[in-house]
Amino acid sequence: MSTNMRLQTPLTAELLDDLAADRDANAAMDAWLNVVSRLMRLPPATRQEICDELREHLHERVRDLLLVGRDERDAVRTAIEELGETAHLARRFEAANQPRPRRLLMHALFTIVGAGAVTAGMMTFTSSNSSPTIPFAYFDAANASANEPPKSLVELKCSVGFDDSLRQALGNIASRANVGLMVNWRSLENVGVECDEPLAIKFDSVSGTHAMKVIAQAASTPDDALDWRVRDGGIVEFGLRDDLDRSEIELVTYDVNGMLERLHENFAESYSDASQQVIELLATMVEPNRWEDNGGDMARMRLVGGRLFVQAPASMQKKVAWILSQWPGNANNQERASTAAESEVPLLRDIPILHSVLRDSADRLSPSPAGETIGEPMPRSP
Amino acid sequence: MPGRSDLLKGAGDLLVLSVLADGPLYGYAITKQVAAKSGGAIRLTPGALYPLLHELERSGLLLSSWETVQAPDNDDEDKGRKRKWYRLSAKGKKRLAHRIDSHRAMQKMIESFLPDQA
Repeated sequence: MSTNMRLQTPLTAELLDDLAADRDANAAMDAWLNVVSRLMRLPPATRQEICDELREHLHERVRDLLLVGRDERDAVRTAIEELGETAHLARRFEAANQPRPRRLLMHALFTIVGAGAVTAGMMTFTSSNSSPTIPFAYFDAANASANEPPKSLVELKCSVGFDDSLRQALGNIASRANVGLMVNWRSLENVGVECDEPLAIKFDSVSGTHAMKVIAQAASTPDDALDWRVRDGGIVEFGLRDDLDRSEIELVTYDVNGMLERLHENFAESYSDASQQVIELLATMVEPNRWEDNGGDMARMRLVGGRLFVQAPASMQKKVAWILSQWPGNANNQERASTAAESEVPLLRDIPILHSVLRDSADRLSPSPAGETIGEPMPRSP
Repeated sequence: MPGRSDLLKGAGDLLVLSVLADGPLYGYAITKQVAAKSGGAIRLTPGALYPLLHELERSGLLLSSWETVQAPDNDDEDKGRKRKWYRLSAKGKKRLAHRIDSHRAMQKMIESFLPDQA
């Protein structure tokens, strides 16, 4: 068959013609599938499954096209063309079948609706999973550090013995620092945390805050990281990191218009390219596996009209804000990203972006001067 | 319609999870279901759909099973084609609920920025 020598290469228009000219539609489809299969660097069993699935698709599609009056040659050609260029299709299947951490925004999951001038720069509202409605919204820059650890915890000198269990260690720290402790023990046990088994760690004279961090790490399972937060009133909550973060999801918008313009002028062909650069930067640098577009379920972002909307836990928002602050004209471009990722990240108020406040969910935007506070302080991670 | 495909970028998984919420479907049936539900306005590109299905399955959001299809015009009795059916896993159902919530919240948020139409 004349297609043999071309099977090594991506599908060309001539090959399509050859395939469609084949009298036997099945043979034409098999030849095409053979090309796709050879281009995929995947295990043979996976390639076979993909081909079986695509063969079924082609048959169904061709049958439908025949039903609307297309001739067979034309139907086969159309069905194959709709699946796209072979090399591209092969890459997509390869990416989809890669182990985690998965592909990064392979199909640029964002929207650009022009980059018109915008005025208000930043706003945020906290969102709770349990409620389908958007709750009261505020961003409290002035009190952004309201949930710092209680002094008694910071100044406490803790010791943990080798045989202490998670329950004993946390109880001990809480009672000695005289802070309220909130732990959903059942949810921990449900994911396999052994609350009453020895932690098998030992330390002396460590600050209470550092001890909490070490204990959380020691008790984490391979699948579920543990962490702690200081809640309103100085209560310490200990639990699954995902649960703690989920309760702190907020929607923040960042004005990235100036940044996009600068990128567009110097480094990108279009606004769309510039936007993609920004999105990819954030999705690779800030906890990649947690973005929805990367297969996670904790955070998402979209770019609309020069505004970047980020719906994510407060801890991730800090990192996003820090990265965006690295462009010329913004503050703190000396700081290292690794430092930011670990702990001391500039607060949102440090970035030279104005912020305004969404007062409620009733579609009403209530602009407010920078620094004005409405409502209670936003929850902060320690 | 210009702009519409842009707006749909990133919504592929939401569309797929949503149509599978009604019951198991195979790839080609998903494209037809999405087209039917949108009155023909949305056509999923098969070259994007199948890799997406694989990715969702790999993430544990979808489960799949194979069915052997005997085509009526197939002379060779042994040569049935294979059809891969997808259904939502428990994780997929949970993810869909999350996606719907956050989609609505995002939509509402963005709407508050749009000028009132004359």
